[in-house]
Amino acid sequence: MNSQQIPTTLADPVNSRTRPAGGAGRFMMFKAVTLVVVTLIVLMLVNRVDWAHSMPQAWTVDAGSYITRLLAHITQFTIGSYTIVDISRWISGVLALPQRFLGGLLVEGFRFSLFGLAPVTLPAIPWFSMFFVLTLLSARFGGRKLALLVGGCLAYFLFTGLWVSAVNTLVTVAVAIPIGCSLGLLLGILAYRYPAAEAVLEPFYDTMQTLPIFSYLVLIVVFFGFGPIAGLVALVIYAMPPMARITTFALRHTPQSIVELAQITGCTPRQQCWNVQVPAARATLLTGLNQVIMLTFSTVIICAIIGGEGLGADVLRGLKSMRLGGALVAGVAITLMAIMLDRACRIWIMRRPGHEQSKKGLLTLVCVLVTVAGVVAVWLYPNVATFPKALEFEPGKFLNQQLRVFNLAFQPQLSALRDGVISGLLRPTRELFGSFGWLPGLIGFGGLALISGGRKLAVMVVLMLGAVAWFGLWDKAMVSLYLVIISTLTAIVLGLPLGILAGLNRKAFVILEVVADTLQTLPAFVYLIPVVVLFEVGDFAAYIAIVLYGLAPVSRYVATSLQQVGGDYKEVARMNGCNGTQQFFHVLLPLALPQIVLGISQTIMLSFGMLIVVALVGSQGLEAQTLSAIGRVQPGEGLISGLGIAALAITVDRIVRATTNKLTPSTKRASGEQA
Amino acid sequence: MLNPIAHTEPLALKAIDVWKVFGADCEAYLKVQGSARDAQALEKLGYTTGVREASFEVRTGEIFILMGLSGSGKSTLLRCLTGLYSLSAGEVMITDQSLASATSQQLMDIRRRKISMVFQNFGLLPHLSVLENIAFPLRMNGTPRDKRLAEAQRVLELVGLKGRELFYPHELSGGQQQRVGIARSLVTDPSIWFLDEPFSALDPLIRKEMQNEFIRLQRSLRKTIVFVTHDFDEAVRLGDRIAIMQNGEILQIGTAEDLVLKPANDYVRAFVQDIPRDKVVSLRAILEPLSAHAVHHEPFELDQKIGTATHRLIASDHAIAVKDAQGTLVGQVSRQSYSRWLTK
Repeated sequence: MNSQQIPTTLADPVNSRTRPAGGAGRFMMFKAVTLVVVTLIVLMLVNRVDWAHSMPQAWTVDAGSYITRLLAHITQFTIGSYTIVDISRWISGVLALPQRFLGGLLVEGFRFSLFGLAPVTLPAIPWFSMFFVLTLLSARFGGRKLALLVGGCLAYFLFTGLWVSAVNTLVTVAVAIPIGCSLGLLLGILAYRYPAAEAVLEPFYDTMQTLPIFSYLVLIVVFFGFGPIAGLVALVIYAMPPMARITTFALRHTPQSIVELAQITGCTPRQQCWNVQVPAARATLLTGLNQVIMLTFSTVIICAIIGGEGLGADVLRGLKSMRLGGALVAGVAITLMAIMLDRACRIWIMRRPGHEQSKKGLLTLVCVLVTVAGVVAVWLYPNVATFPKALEFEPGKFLNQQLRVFNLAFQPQLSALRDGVISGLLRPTRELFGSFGWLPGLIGFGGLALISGGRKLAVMVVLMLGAVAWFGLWDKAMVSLYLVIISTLTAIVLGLPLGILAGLNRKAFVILEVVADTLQTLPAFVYLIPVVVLFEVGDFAAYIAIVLYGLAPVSRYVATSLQQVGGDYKEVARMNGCNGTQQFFHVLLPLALPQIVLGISQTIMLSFGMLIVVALVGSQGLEAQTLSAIGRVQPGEGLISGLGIAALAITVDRIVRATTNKLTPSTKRASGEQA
Repeated sequence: MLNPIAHTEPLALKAIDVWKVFGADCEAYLKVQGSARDAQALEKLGYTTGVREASFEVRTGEIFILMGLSGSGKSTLLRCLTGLYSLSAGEVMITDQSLASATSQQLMDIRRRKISMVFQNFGLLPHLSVLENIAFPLRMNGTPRDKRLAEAQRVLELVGLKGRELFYPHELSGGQQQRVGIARSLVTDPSIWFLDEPFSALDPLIRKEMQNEFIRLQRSLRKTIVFVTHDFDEAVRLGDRIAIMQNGEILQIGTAEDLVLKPANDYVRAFVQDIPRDKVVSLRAILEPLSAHAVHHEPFELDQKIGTATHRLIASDHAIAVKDAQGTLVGQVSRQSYSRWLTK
């Protein structure tokens, strides 16, 4: 409903929902209940049949190993005298150039020998020069606030001894973001200008966004090997689709007068694109850049799995060796860097060109001078290149100790909580999901899809889940599904009251916004850390991590959708004599409902994303198989189980969305149903 | 009326039975229907008619106004005349070049050299300074940088924006932004100038000021102009001839005086009702045969609007002579003939 319209009556949202008249309604209800009961009984009977419960080995196909073999063939396929792998390795060599250059400039310095003399090392720009220049620049362009933020973050990196890791991450990101953005921009323009290209690219993006990143990490390993460059490629691939989509969107929404201007001045299509539409869409494109930055940082840790360097590797190492304090400190560093770049970019976006000339020359001069002076200083006194060890303190170690103390003190309570939830909630649910055989499962999901979304959806769902069963992944898929469903439900049960409270109370809303903002900028991995500390690895830790991760979006969506109900509607409610409860149930809730359900479906998708991450703390579904496939370089297996997760996610998402559509009042549909 | 156009001026623009219909495959359908096209039949088939059977001619140096309420099809017709919309049927001739049969290369050429357009929402490029915005069409047609900046500077001064060269659009007021839009559309020295409600987005005072500015510019430029507006006052102030549109159809074309004196139907009559008649109607309407008593000193002109003569008419006890464009006395007007007209 358009909130800008001034509502004059409430009849629309409340009355237009079709309500069958009393007697007929009861009969329909009876019919529906009977149908459900009969179906359940039939399904349970079917479940008893052995081959319907677990698919016989002979029927399944090991698609994973086929794909692995196929990929092996592809990599050895020769064009001229080069194999595909030679070509992909050559690409990674090209990608390595900017990475090596920046790395040399900021971390390692350059070694070269002139005229056959002993090799000389030109030192990298030292920490103090970088600190000064970055803070100065942010002060100049973003004011005191940005300078404080940037200075503070840099100081955090210095004092926690993470400077080198942080700069390494910065280097990787600084190479990945421009490449990802420019490729995304080109693809987006392509899709805008040639609808055929869009028809090809669109489903591809969809798959990439639902496909867990692990499963294409394996592919990247096949083509690019392990190491920092493979990590870089993963970042680029991951960041590209949103940029491409935003570009297409922005170009499509260029103001009509601007497009007509381009035509009336006689621009060629190329001129219209590059001289008019792309520059005019600058603001939206920069928002895309912003998204790319956030996404890139959220994948930095994942890329460390295939050999990315920097902060991500620090977190991963900490997690693996249970030195959780260190992992936490590095995780916070990633968040800080993301926030820092995000704010800086936002200021860049908001900045509009002005006619006043600024003294850019002086600023550049100062920056260059400080940089050169720093390099010279390091050349003369190599000691100053590293931040004094004495000033570093290791909060990681301290945290580790504190955690140990805490754990010892509360061990009984924590274990009691864990065991209670496991035996009371997790295990029964897991057994319930585990008892669904593939055939009854297909029928059940197909039926749900049929009821909510019609025949087309049902066919899609049956085909996708059928493939999961056919590839012999059904049991693992049910383990993944159980974890996601139970965690999302818990998150909803906990988040709903929070969201409603914040939706009705302005003060609570402000607090929630701040908390949710902070939680949502944390990389998903950071959620694992406290969970593992308190509850060790296993299903329960995974469960808690997903719940925590889902809590922020659920409560936030609920609160925002309630807050967004226009003041006009509230006035209408009051003038129609609603009391507080009536206003909530008859006006606010119906108006906010579509948005709330949308939020819940978003949370389910986020939980599927988080599912991949919790594989690291020992969950056992498809996600664990994807993860282990990376280590064993089994791209087929990784890809297939990744696709399995995507199939589950899409199934649940589409069914929830179809149900939402059914719930949204529409007189058109109502009259159609009666006819 | 700024500059009465002699009917001997050459044609600059000609629209012949122009149709614009929205919907798939409407061209084929229109062709089959031939001259027996029927808008209602089209609507029934699910097509939307934007413009139907629009025919008119615009002479060089004339200001032709397309006038109508929103949804009347005036902007659609303008976009047909500039080739922004392809024609569903009919033909548009720009001097001697056909739009309907123009290739995209020819269309580009026409736009680069012969026509230009001013937009209601200015359509300024946010990333370019005022001077660069004005020079933009020249940049697109490949004019060297120095030349195009010099030319842009000249036009910029013409529209009174000197000193604002380096400003960006968002730093300017609405009126100034439209000055940039006007300057940009003039920089290629087009022969036909299209303006799509150029002053509608401005507040009344600025609008008045911009209209005066427009009149001043046109006095020196003498362009052929097609001007779209929904404001009849504006149409009367600026236009030589006005076409009134409703539902995609041109109801009547004529001078403001024609429309007021001989409205073609009730819709046009309702439209022109609130216009102060003495600002539109010329002395021709109250002309009497010349009598012996008429004052011959400083005779009125035949095309003069009644409003400009009222003061002297009322003050004078005698009838005053009227001369035509050649200076021959053709009749007289008097207090009596004026009051008879008023009470009619």
